[in-house]
Amino acid sequence: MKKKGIIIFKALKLEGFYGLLSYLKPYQKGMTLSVISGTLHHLLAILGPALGAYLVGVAVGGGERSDIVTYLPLLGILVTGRVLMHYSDMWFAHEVAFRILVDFRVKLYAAIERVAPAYLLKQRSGELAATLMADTEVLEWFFAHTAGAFLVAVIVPFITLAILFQIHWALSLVLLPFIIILFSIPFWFKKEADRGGTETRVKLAAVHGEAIDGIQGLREIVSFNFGVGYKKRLRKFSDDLYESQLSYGKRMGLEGAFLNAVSSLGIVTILGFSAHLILLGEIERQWLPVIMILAANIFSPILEVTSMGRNFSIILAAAQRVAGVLETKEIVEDQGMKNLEGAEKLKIEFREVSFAYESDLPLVLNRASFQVNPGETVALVGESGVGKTTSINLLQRFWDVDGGKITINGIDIRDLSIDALRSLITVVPQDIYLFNMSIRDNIRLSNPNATHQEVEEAAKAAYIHEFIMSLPEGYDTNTGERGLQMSGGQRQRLAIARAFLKNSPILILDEALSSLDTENERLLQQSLNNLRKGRTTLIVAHRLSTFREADGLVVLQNGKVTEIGNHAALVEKRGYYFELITGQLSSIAV
Amino acid sequence: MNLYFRLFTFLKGARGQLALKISIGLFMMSTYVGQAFATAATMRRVFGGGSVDEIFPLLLVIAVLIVIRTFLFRIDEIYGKKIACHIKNRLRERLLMRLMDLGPGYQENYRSGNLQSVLIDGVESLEPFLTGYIPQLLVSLIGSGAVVIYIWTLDPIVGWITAGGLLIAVGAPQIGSNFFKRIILEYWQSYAKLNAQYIDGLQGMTTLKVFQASKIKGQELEAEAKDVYRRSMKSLGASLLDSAIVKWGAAAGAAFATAVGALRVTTGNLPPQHLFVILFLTVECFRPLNDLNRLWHQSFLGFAAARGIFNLLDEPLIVEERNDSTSIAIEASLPELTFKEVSFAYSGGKRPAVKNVSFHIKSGEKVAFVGKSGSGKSTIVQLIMRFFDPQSGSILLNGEDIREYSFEDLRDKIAVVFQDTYLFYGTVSENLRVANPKATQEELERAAQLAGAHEFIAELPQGYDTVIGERGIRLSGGQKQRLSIARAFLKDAPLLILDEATSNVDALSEEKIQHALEHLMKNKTTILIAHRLSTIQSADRIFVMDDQELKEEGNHQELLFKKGFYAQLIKAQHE
Repeated sequence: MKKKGIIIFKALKLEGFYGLLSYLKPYQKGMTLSVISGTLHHLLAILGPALGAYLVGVAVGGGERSDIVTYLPLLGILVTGRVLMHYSDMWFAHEVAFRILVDFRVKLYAAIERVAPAYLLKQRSGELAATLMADTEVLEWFFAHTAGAFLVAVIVPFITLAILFQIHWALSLVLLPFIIILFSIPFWFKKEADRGGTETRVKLAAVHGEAIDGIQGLREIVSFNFGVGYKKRLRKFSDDLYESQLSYGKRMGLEGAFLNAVSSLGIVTILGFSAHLILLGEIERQWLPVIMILAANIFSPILEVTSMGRNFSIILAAAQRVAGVLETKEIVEDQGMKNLEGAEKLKIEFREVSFAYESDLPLVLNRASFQVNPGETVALVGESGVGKTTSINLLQRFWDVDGGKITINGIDIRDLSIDALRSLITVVPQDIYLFNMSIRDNIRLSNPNATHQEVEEAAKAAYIHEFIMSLPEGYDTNTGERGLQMSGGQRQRLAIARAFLKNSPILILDEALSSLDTENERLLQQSLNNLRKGRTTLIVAHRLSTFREADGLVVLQNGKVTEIGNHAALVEKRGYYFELITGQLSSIAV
Repeated sequence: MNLYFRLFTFLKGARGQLALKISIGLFMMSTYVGQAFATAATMRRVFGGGSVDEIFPLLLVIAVLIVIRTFLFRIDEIYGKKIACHIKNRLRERLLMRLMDLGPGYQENYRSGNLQSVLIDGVESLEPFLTGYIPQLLVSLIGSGAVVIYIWTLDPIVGWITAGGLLIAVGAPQIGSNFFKRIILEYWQSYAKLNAQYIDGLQGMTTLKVFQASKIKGQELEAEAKDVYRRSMKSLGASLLDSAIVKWGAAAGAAFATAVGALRVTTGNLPPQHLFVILFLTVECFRPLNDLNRLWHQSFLGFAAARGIFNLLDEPLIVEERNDSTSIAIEASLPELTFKEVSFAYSGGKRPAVKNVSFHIKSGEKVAFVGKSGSGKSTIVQLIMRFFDPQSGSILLNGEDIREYSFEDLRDKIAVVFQDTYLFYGTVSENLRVANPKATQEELERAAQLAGAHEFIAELPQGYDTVIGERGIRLSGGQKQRLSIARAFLKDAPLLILDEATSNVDALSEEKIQHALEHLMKNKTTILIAHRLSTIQSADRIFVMDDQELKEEGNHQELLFKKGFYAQLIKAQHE
């Protein structure tokens, strides 16, 4: 059965949908109710007018007043019943839709959690998150308003054909080809529709990108008097979009015209044919209005679905992206059982570590070995792209090493549970992510049970308390609110406050590239010095002052550790490190 | 003006096209009506016991009408796209130009995310209303109205019933619109909010994982999602009523018009041949209403967005250009600049930024502003560029108040290298030409060479034709900054402002940049906003800002000797 299903979808070049349908299983009940009400809605929508048409036939055929009056209550019931069924169809369809939205969000969150940050890094930015959420909405649209409607569009014409069959068998035979042709029309245009659809979306995205450029580059545009030039650019992109929308519209128009023509021709044909049958005496003439109304309505559920067919390519693309994330395997497996609870003095060791981000990419780290003794601060030094950040990513097990191993107190970090490992480590990143919630909750992220007093103490130790108190709402200020502009230094000190609150024995510090103003710089240094006390610290360093203060320096060059020692010793050596810093000295005064 | 009616003003310039679309719609409707008449006539003949020869011409007429409609259908669809695209392009352009007039000062108060959603999603969401609902409404009113009147002439009672159904179907949503609009918007908004929260969580996932908070956050979000789901279902019940009433009006109108027509035939009040016409015409009468109802619902999101769009259009200008500003030629070889007791606060006076600042920069001088962040240094740049106007005091360029200059003249004379540079989506050349659209390729390359950027540009896959920006190749902070400097070289303005120009770059690129900057400063009046000692020391004069005020001025030696703020700052840096 399953195989058969796939074959049908493949034959229609819609195999992408087959995968989607499996997600519908948990919603069977709601879907069934929606399809039943949808079917009844459409049937009643046909039966009401059909009864009206029948009454016309009766009246013209010389019927009595009473013949008609008795049917009026039934007509009222049919009309009202139809509306009620419409209501319940929409209700259940949305019920399923909204539940799907909830479930898919939860599923996506779990999937991203499993594969982050590797996946996020590969996709470059948080735009991915926005795309995925938008895709989820598209899927909702498919599940709630397309899948069920499709079934209805198959069932209702069938029943209508059966009724026509009762009137005269030949009628349904005449109509059937028109129904089949109607269903097939979207497939004639599918290729062209897919191409045009993709092109329009690309062009639209370009116009939107241009608008975003205008908003974000506003200062540049204004200060270079580039307004006219910008307008010209915008026009160019808009005109492009216009062209592509136009050709898309032409295709849509043609498709719609065919749909309209085929369904109308079906009606004329049935009119001519049944007139012929009546004149031959095969059918009684009062059935003619009924036949006409049935024929006119048989196409409407089909037309409803075929017009949706135009969006199939959008749905499929969205489904592919979502499925891509849901089915991505995790990069590191959490199979370790050990933990290092209670251990305070921790020693980190990189032993002959080799690593590449993809098997066909060059090695980022090539048999790199170094160690950080308990309580020591070691700085990783080297040009950008040399593997410093990779080293700290590996230590946190965002990826696993390809060769060699990383140990903490002699235990391979892969033998630790990920939870145990992460509870040992605190990271102060270069660019801290602040969530759309209060400053207090942002700090408390590292320790949800911390009391307000503890939060404040951490903020004080990070020298950020004063700044927070200067805000009108203090610790309750939402960091996502407009107007709250925090400098890089202030944001980093918030990260430090988080780190204080977590209070773990290993500290990883990714030093910011941008130098801060002197005041911020001093506060930052002081708070970092407080934080480092007693902790085993690994720093990705950019600044001379950090180099000087570190207990040891690990100099990386092309993925290899080329020099190890403290600042004084390495300067003495006059090697690569010396070259590196003399290049900097002329401009760094800190 | 009422929001609803004000939306119609967006149609300006497209009214002719819109009228054409409405005419096509009416034309299409009349082919349907024609078909209804022909069908009714066919039926009458069948009931009259006519022959096939009598019916055949009528069928032919219907076929011709179908062919005509097919063509109309195609034109209508194309036209719809055309108008939608045209209106949206114009509106987007208008809003962006408005934003340009408001200037960067406007963004101090608004998050760019909000602006983006107004300019992109907002404009898109107006489409159903402007190019769907409005023309369809007119087609329905004129077309269906005419059909109702015709039915009324056949039989007043049937006419009234049809009119009643029509009135319910068109009117009910309008009467209840505020109620339904509120409900529908509420749940759209709560979903949008939830979406934003999920995006927030996903973007911060690394942070969450590092602090082992991802599970808790996930549970929180799930609970919230379920809550939103429950609330949505509650309000859905109410909002579905809207379309149910419309459906009922249309269905009951058509069904009872026919049935009552049949009744009146049996009582002899209506000639039977008219009944066939009524049977098919009532179908046509309610045909446009289905689309109308769908479009009305789709329009709601646009109504919400309209508010943001109107806010942007109505926002008073932050700085206004004088109408009679004439171009003032700069006579002196290099400009001089004076601040006279300038005070300024952001957010309409709520957030003080500079207080009573006065200074004079001589022609060709190189001065530096130093101070903590928030001390007001960067505000000085924004005031000189006229992103804002001071609340009191005046700023003079070559002795003339800068408000006397046209924006173009003023900004032509100033080149700024900002701390963070924005690169547009486009090639390197296009990005450089922002500073001077007429520059030749040689001039571009020369500027890039002077800025120390030529080397890395040459190494890019397509050299100067490499596409950069958000959607292109990303450059490092140092590379971006060198492009920014190249822009300044290209612009070659006599007044140069370096606003913390070297703060976002790593130490290695900094050296190259410093070198390029020194070159750039030659033969210019230069203002440095700086915090690095090396850049400050070489300045002719240093202004020290603290607490929004100008506290000290003098050269490096003098200020050190003074043992004031400056000496403290320097000391802090050495600690």
